[in-house]
Amino acid sequence: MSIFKFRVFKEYFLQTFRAWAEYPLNFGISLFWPLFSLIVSYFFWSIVFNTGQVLNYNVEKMVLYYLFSLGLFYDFNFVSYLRRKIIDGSITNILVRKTSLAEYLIYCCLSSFAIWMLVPIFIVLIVGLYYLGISAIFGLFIFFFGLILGCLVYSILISTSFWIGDNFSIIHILDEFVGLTSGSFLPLDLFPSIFYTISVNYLPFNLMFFTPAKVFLGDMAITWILIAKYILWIVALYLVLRFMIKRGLRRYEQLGG
Amino acid sequence: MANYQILVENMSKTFWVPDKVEGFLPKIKNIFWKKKKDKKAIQNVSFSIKRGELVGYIGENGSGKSTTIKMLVGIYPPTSGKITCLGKDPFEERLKYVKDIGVVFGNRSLLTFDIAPKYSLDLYAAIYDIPAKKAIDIYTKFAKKLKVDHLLDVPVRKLSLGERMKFEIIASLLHNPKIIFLDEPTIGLDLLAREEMIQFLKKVNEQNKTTIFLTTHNMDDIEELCNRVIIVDDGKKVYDGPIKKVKQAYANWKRITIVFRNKFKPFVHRFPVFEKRKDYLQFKCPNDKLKQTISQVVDCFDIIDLKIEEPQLKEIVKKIYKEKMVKVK
Repeated sequence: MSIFKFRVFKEYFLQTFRAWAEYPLNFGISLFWPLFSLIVSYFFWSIVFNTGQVLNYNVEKMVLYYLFSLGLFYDFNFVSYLRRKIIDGSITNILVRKTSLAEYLIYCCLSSFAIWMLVPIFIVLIVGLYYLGISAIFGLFIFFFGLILGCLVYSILISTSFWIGDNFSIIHILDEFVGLTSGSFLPLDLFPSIFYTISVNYLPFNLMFFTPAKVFLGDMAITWILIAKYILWIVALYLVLRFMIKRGLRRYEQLGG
Repeated sequence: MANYQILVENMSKTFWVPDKVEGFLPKIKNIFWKKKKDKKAIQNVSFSIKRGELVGYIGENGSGKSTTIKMLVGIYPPTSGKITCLGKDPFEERLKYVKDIGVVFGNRSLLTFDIAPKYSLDLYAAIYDIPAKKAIDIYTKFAKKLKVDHLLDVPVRKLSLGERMKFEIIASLLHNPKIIFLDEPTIGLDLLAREEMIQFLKKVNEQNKTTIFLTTHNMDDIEELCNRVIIVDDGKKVYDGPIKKVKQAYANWKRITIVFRNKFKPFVHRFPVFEKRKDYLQFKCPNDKLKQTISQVVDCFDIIDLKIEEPQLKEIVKKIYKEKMVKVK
């Protein structure tokens, strides 16, 4: 397992940032999109809660949950960008660098997320601190672990391109599944108990949004067991990613120049 | 064998390619379960390259040049045979190996399209653990030599192909590699850019004893840069030896094309004619008869256009196959 270098991450981050900043209008609008989603979800959940209380959520909590889970969205563009690199063969340029493909995918993913989340995190932090107090900081702290886990999940999805080539539809379906079981669409405790049990106890995706959002809302405390859970899943998914890349590269066939 | 930087023994590579299917139901089935067949891209190729050699790997499109280079740089393993570069298996020990090589793909960029090349070079410096200041010094020096130092801040998408290729070369040299692999680096370049790049690579080879492995389908690139040539055709090695020998044995003639208005007097020659029309003549002239033939052509024709060309690679390969004169190493 190679050691991640901050200098390499910094350069990837700056490179991604500069590339996005080349198109300032698109970049600027994209950074502030959580504000729009906040307005939309406020109106949506106001209407829903007019009919009464949904479990232990009220309209304010639900809007804050959505601010967290949708505001800190995962930029899906990078997934398409990187899977395209495998399909069209331009990944070969990465393979001739002194960097493993697993590291490259994680660097790219973290850089991309870091840029898109720069402003949303600030917004979530300010709003969270105002309404929820210190738990907002804890929520964001644990969210960073979830972010690494999310990068690994999406990197694994990208690496399936070695087997199935253009895997857009599969990635799209899996992305919906991850969205559902991570709690980014709806809090997992609003689902039937069987779904909740499977999502929370047997799958890692809840650690990407649901768990950090619950910590953010002050409904869950950060424990050593929780951190250990994150670390175990991160290590396990990293090993899966490395295994998939190793096997994928062995069968990779990209004819022609 | 430790003397060799690149040692290739009986290297073969077979790819799976889609096979044609007939009939309605097989075609439907083929949408989900592709029928495949083997395509032998490389067949039992062996060669060895010493430190500081300038080797041209030449062949027509589809002859297996890029496949070879991809195996040599560790992108994929050979189906059979053995490759040892700098004492390592390029595929199995890729990370340890690639730190000592530089690679340029003519049709794929190492640089990020939307940003200035210096930022891509900064990233390379970080990847190869080159201190930032030292990296700036190195790439500025190279950029000055290639006359692109004023373009370090210009986004790659705004550079011409020649300028971009120069930065690709700089990126591949930043970490002072022991071997540089260049896959069709002159593709699409104008004469001046091509010449500058070739001269620069020659200097790098002279100063650092850097081994250069170049694939191309352009005989001129090889002639100017390399002292040894390996010719491949349909995945097989057909020649390995000095470029001079190829020129003498197989490319010892020129194709002369004349477009003319009138004939002043009959053109008497014993050369094979490729094509002859009322106002057009194309024939094969041995290099040692070139001077007197041209002078005769000028005397005999009222010339509109005169073209003197090197033989095409496929003609050389055809002759090699036909005569089997030069012993393959």
